[in-house]
Amino acid sequence: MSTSDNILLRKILAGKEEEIVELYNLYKDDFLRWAKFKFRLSEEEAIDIFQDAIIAFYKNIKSGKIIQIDYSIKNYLYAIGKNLISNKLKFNQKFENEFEKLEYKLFVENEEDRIENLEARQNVMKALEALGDPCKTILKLFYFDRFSMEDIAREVNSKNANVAKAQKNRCINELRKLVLKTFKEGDFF
Amino acid sequence: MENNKPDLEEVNAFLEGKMNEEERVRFEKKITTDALFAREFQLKKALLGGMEDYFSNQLKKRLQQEEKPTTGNSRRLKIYRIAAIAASIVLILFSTFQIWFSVTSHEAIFAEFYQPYPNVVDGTERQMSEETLSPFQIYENKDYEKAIATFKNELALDPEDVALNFYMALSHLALGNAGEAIPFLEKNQSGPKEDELQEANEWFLALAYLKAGHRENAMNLFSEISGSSSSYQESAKKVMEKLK
Repeated sequence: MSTSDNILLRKILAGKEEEIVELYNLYKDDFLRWAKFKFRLSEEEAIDIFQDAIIAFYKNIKSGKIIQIDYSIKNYLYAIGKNLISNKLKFNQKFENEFEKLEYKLFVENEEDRIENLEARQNVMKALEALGDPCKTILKLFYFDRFSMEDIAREVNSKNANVAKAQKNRCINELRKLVLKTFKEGDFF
Repeated sequence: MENNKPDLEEVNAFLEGKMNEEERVRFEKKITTDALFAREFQLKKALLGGMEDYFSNQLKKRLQQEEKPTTGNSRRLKIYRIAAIAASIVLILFSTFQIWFSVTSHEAIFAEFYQPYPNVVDGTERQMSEETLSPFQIYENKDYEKAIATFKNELALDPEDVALNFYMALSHLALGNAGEAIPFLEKNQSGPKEDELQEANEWFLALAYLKAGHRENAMNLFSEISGSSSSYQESAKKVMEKLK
């Protein structure tokens, strides 16, 4: 992996949205040209796929599913994009050989698992919408951006990591209560 | 696992495959044998999944904001486009009278506007060994002489392929041989107009004409581009301005 990729990867690991937006703008034009040319996607379809590829990449990096990128971030993004396109095109026979070439372990979420769990997840999303700050910020920093409790304490001006952790636990309980208050328990099982 | 209930971090570790074998087996056994544990597991799985979806949607919205400047206010863009076309027609008429009085070096204009076109065809999604690189990857690696040799072999098998002709021409152009590039780009001009490379083909042909000293051909093509909706429209107008 190149030095510039290494720097960018470190910035993404340590950061939040700004770095991922930088990555998005860095590779967007090349990706769109490639996706439109190779898979005959419209501009809008290609943009949508690239945004989803960036999000999948971010989640994989942050969750530690990717601990090393052998070649380049760009290659990895293209591979995720190709995987997402194959889902979108429902494995169009025309591109079958192309998709067989995939070599990366991509960790793109299993769509069947998602759909099975969809209603319950949507209920949680509605509850999150009702949850105020700083809870929403703390939960995002911990579960999505994967910040350490020390970093979260700094971000939300908590006294220390222990205080931030207690805040995070209170926020989860708050979310749980909101979910169970709004929806029947049966919605989850 | 306090009070027969898994905590959120345990559920997360289980779902992300971060438990060791012993922990995983014990956890799975609890899910299948303890109804209360299983219900709590499902609720926490939904909490984690819902948070992931919610914050992913937030990030998606942030990325979508990056697109707004180019997609917003299409009516105003249309007006600009009409104005641009009108302006370019005026420019064409004016430059016809000015053309022979130009003092600007064609080479300098070419150098200012020429940018290598990226490989959008093949191989960016995986790395191959040096021996198995496709001609497009060789092009991407800037080994233009080798790319020309491999494109030549490929074109012998499929002489009408738009991408092969295009990147063959671009390899020649990268080496400064505009005269060699022109026949391949001209061949593509009669190809299918909906091809994604068509816009770029037209632009690089105009640049190749310019560099090779075919001023009239270059002017005609640049004026066509500047009056079209091509993504090279603005650049073509700038070139014509300099050629006046």
